[in-house]
Amino acid sequence: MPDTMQATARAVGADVALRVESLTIDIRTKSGVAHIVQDVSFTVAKGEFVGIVGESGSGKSMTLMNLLRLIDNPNLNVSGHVWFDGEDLLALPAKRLREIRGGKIAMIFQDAMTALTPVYTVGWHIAEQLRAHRALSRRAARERAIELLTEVGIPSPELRVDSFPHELSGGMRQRAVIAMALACDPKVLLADEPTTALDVTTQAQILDLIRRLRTVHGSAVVFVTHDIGVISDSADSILVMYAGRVVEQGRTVDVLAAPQHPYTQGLLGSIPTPGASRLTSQLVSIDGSAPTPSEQVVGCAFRPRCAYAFDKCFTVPALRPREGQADDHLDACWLQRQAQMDLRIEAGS
Amino acid sequence: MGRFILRRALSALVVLFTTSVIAFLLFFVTPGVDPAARIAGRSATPATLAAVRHSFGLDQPLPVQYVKMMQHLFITRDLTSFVNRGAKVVPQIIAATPITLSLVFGTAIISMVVAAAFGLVSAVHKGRFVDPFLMALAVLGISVPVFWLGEIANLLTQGGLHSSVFSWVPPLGYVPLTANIGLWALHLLFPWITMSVLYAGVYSRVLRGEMITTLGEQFIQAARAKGISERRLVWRHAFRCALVPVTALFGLDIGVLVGGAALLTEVVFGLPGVGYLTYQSLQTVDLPMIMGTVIYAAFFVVLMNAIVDIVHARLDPRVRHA
Repeated sequence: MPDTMQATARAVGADVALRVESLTIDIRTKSGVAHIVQDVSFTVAKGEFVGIVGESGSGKSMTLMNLLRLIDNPNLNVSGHVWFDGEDLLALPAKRLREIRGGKIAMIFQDAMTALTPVYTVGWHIAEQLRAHRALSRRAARERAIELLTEVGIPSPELRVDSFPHELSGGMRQRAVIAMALACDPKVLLADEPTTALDVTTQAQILDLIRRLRTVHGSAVVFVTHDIGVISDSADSILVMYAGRVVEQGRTVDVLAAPQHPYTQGLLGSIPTPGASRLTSQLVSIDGSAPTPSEQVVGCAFRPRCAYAFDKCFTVPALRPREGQADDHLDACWLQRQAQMDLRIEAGS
Repeated sequence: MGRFILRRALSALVVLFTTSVIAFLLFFVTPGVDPAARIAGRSATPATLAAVRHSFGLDQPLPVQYVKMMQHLFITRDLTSFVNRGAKVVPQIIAATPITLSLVFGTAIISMVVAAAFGLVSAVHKGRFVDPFLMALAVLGISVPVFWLGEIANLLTQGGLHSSVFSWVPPLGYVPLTANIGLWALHLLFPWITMSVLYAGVYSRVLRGEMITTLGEQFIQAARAKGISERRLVWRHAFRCALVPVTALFGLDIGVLVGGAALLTEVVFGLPGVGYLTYQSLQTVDLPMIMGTVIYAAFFVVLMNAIVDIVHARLDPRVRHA
């Protein structure tokens, strides 16, 4: 796919923090091989905020976890390339990879409770992160931990440094995890639904914190979420994933202004607009549910749920730019834009 | 902490009281036993019989009898065995305790080390050749009866090969730790190994299960994402967490073993520990001794329970404030 490569190489050379090329993840199960992620490619520029959106089972978290080869499962087969600093993380020896994990690329998780080992204090976790990559004394690590806790807005950090994970609220825990992740000033922060388990107010605070720290520490962010609304303000670019494939990707402004793939259109249509009249703007819902990795759909995976599906959809469409759209705005749909419009009018929506 | 200890002590007292009442009542439900006649001995004169009856309050209501019995058992400590007139119950048990403690704690250390090695290696290499191999070994260890394995060990070390390969193995019996530490360990070596085969088997399976569960937790992936070594991941994160439930279980097992459940090993190897005492007293329906060992067993189970609770709270901060 030469045009895919060309378009994802939007940020080139020295500006690139991370480049993922044709990442494919298969898992061997008793009933055969399931394709969890297929041919995912994207580029993260230095300091860029990239959002990956998709529903449960779309492969978005699996994509993120495997950038650092975090899943230790002999039945998992990961292929493709993850380029970072001129090295392919998927081919790197374990020792070299460990230097990058936490040091250059850090990760935060959906539920901070399950991301912290329950028997150790917050300070212990941060100190472990620091001491894994920096030659620091125990005392210096503890002092740095307190500073980091202050930075992420935890009240009375000199007390909280000795708290156990279960003694903190969900929001505080996530702050502590963020403090841990940023301890070594990583170039890239991978965030796996870090706001999903939190209430809306805390969600906004955490998102705010990530945005602020991103400027302070100069880290690029790859943010996985199922809620496109969460990142529509923060993300510079967006990937929309469906059933293990990227169905649309591009700059957030472009994708939001003119979503090309029917699935993206459905996602955006399902977000209520504040102040909109109930009569003129109806929320869209997509019928049916996403296929599981073991269910093999012939052709485009969205075809069974797509209102516009036609004979061509029995072949998998490639990601490509469209005429009239930005060069780096790609989508994987056979439908011509004009035909889409006509069909939509026909459908009366 | 103070409140915790107080609460544990109170519940321990309730358990011990209940156990002692039940053990005491054994005297009165055992057919064909006149407690006074048995305590006084076979050749007692009617006068001695009357004295015993009075001393133990046997002419008074049951609660009074219970109190007097406990007095003779624990305070004056002059309650003697039915079988061996010279043996007083409590001093006898106290003398046997170090033997049982030596046996059990040695076993605990050996089996824990072996179980940790087996369980960890199995869990980390789950599904590869070494895992089913070690686990089959563990099942074998669990299935082999202690009395059989002990007899086989004796047959080899005390029998045919004693004059050649196993000439260094001392005869069956016990040498106190304080007398000669080398001989103490040498006498206990085969009992330790025999008993460890069972417990190492049990706990390597338990530990393997706990390790696999823990290794599947998200905090393992999170810790891996920090760039720490796999060795640190396994020991400081996974093993440390898997240890919590295993320790709790193991503590209870130790309590039961010290309480006399090591009797098969003690009998096979001729170690005069508390288990051996229990075994003898059960065989001869030696009621005072049975009563003593039952209360002793309850005491150690309760004690180990309390220790397990304290250790558990130390190991897992989540239960500390519960």
